[in-house]
Amino acid sequence: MTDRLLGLFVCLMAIAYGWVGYGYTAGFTDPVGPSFMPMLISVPMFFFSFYLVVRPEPNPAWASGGVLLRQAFSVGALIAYAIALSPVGFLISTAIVLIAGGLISGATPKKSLLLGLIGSPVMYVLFNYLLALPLPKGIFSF
Amino acid sequence: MDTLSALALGFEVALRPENLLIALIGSFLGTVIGALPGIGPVNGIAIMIPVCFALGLDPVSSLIMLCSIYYGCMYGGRIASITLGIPGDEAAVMATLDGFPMAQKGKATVALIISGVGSFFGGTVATIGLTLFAPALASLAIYFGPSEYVALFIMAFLTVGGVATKHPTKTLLAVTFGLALSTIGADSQSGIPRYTFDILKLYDGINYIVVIVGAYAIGEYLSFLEEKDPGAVVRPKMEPLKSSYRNAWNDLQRCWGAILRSSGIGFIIGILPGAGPTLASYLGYVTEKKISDKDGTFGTGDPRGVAAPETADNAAAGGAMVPMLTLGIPGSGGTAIMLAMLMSLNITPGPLLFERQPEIVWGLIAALYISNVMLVVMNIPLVGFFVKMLQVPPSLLMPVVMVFAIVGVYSINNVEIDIFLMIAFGVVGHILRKAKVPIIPIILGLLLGDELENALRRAIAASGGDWTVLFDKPIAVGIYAFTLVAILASIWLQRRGKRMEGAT
Repeated sequence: MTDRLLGLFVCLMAIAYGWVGYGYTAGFTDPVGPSFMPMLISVPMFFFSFYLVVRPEPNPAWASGGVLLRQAFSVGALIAYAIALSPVGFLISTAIVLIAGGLISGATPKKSLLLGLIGSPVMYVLFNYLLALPLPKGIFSF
Repeated sequence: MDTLSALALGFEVALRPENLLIALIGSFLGTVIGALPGIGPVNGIAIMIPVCFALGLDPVSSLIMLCSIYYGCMYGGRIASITLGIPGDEAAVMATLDGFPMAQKGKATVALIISGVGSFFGGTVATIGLTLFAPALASLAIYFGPSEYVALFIMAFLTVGGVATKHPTKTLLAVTFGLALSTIGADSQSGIPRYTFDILKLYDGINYIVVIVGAYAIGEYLSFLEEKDPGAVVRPKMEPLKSSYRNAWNDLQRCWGAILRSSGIGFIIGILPGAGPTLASYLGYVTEKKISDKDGTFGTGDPRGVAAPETADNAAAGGAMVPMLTLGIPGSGGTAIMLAMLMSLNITPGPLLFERQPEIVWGLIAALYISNVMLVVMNIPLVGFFVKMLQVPPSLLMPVVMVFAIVGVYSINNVEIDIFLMIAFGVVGHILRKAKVPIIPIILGLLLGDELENALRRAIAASGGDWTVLFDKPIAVGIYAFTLVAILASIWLQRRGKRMEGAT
């Protein structure tokens, strides 16, 4: 089923990709214009994905329940971290994302808390002083 | 310039104090990263790319850094395969067959020393091969026109992973997906924006580094969360180092044949486009088993069964540098990522690189000799320290790696959309990996797509729209024929390998 769904999805993508690509034309006459490569790619892409729909392999074991929830939480935490990084600043947002990450990954609350409180300043020193990356200071910007 | 004076120039570059220091740091960091649970060689260098950018190193130094990290990761990666029987990546699977039984018999340190010595020989033989073959191939490639390059790219795409992968359709699908990604952005010849959906940031195309770090770092994290007990820490038992030296020396006496043969096998497999360390370690092991396994000791902790695959996979990693440097075509996951780094630094590997910037090529080659020595000298006495890395709990390590990846990718261009793209590629990468669609062909397609398109369009435009120009050059035809042979050979080798495995 996984292969069929994936194949179907890529099939549709190949059609859309070829369709859009067909429309690209350069202003001058060129035997092989900007639409050439997309057309050339979309055809095999369509056939390979179609083959997956017709001849799928057995399903992999997908995560369910708690594991899936943990994966969703971790992706959510990373997105929230990316958004918060500039306005809130590196130290606080990193501490929070490390604590959350530790908890999601199965560390004890105590260890996760330590990870956040120690890890964040250590990484701040590493990035800011050793690697000289400009880090967003956020609410510490004085 | 003849090879010797070129190599002397290379050593001049590589022996500069800052480059020596970089090679030392890279080798050490690489071994540590490779030994950390859940991070394989390809993941290791993917995470370190942004750090190279952050340090603002010049191209030679960045390359030396990445290569020594890559080699170091391969040394570190085998620690888990041998002491715990958990391979860090596909190429390390063969090392578990005899390495883990040795560890169970209380010879873990001996196995690690043998593996280190084998890796050193494999790596050095491959670097010597690189020194001899690369200039010859480069001077041949200088005559390649667009038609020949089209043939080379097609060879790279058709042979990636050796087609010997279990899922050839999925490999080829991954190639087309990568190629499709490469067409995003302004068309380099007409300037027309393609698939940009009016997002200004996409006009420059998709940043390879973002895709690579996303698919490897974030994707790996999501896979890691699926493990049964992600927080678990295992403590391997190690015997004292002093008594192990003598045992390792005794065992090594039986291994020299295996090491020599596997160095050759590994290097040749490494040069072949797309084959890479996984196939090399596999062939190294099965060949040695066929030649030396007279008493049926392979699989029960025979030191030759450790030496053979470990030598072969390091030799292949070195061999893969030949097509990467001379033709711009990577033969393994590690070299694909190095190519991405080179292209991000605006360096195009290929024959012209040897002519115009010999200090980069030869500096790198000299650095490979040096890192190989550093690694074996560092790894044998410090093996106890590196084994300790296994005890870092992954549940605390993984969040730190994520912050590293995000801050690193953000620091390249200082745009937030890169972070979101990276997370998106992480999710996509995880789903594809579950569906057994390989990631490396996607990266390869993305990296080489632009050049393939340019070569195709130049060849056809020059002939006024005549397609047959692609097939009327003798070298191009030769490459297509070679591709066919390579595909048939890899299918044959795989079948033969399976039979040899089944026979015992």
